[in-house]
Amino acid sequence: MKKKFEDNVASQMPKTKSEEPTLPWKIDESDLAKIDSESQDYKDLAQGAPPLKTRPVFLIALVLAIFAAALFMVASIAIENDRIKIGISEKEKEAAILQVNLDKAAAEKTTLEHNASQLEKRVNDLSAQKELFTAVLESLTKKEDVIPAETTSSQVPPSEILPSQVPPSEKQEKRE
Amino acid sequence: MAPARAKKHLFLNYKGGTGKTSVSTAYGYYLAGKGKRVLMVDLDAQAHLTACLNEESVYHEKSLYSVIVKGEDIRNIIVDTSLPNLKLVPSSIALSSLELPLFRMPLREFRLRKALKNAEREYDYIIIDSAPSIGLMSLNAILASDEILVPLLADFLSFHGLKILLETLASIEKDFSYYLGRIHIFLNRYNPDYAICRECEEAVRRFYPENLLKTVVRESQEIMNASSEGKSLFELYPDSKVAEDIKNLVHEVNGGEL
Repeated sequence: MKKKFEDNVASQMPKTKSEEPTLPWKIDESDLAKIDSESQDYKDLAQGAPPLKTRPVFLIALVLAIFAAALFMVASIAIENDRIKIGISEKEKEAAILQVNLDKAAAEKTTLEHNASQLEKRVNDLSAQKELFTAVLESLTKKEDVIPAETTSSQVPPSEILPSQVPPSEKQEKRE
Repeated sequence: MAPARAKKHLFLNYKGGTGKTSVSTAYGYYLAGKGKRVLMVDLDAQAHLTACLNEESVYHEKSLYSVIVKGEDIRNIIVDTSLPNLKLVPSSIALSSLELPLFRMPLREFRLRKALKNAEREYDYIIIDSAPSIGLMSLNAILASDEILVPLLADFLSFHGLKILLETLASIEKDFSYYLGRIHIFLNRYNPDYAICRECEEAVRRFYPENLLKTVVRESQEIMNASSEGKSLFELYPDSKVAEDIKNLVHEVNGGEL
């Protein structure tokens, strides 16, 4: 089968300078010159002296830098450690305060419960008294109705009962 | 006022045998014949451009290797040719071992561009003939050039190779955040009697209309003979049709600047 030209067309085309955007990241001649001069400076530096042996200053600076870094790390760890300890003690204090408050609240609750039970008892007593007084009042009310009828029939003859002395119930019966 | 920088034209195609060397030689000869100061740069380790300019038998102590790797001034390795204003940076088989040390160098893709800076004020045109390979030197050539000329044989395989080339150039632009110069595609060794040639021309015109040059370099023996004799096409066959094609090509690429 004959191959087709249209199946072999480039999927991406170079944009070329006609479509070049003006963006700051474009590689400039000065960028190249700068990179190249840095590379050259390094080359010159490397070419001149043998490494390490005749550069005690660099060695000492390196050792001091490492030592300072190690010291800094130890100090940081120690400071961090103290900070954590302080944090722990503060947390413990807060916990103790909370515990005290909790105990107080528990004691208060006990007192309130005791008071409540006492009040309940008093209410029960008062209720009982109320019932008693109610019963007494009822019994007293009944006795007043009964006792005046018994006193007039047994003690005073009927002829001598004055109209004013006739109990109202008898008066009423007579009238009827 | 500093002299203007040379225009750097690269003849590029990853496919071999498309006529890069023959056409670039004729191109350079024509420009030199018009009075321009031209520097030809041979980047192919096969040194065919060097042979076309009759310099292959001459031993050159220094080469692009010393320029690219050791930072030697490129002007130290430029040689004369038969024309006074046509110079050459010759190549040799030693160039084939250039990529390995180049790989470890900083700014390895821009070494040629940096090297040409030393010479670009002394020439009007720098014509670079690249090797038919996708490699670090080819990348150096692409990033060093202002315009790219792609000779294309009018057949299917070359058309397919063009797809690979253009996609590679697109990815180079993207990877390096660097927009390439104009890309000119022109048909080489064109024979209108062959249907495949006409089909290929039609396909290129259809899919790459902005890049295709109107000029077509027709199939001819004259340009092959000139290459084999190491002489200028315009010296040997000044009135040939292919000479006319090369002139048209130069004028079409350079417009009114010539």
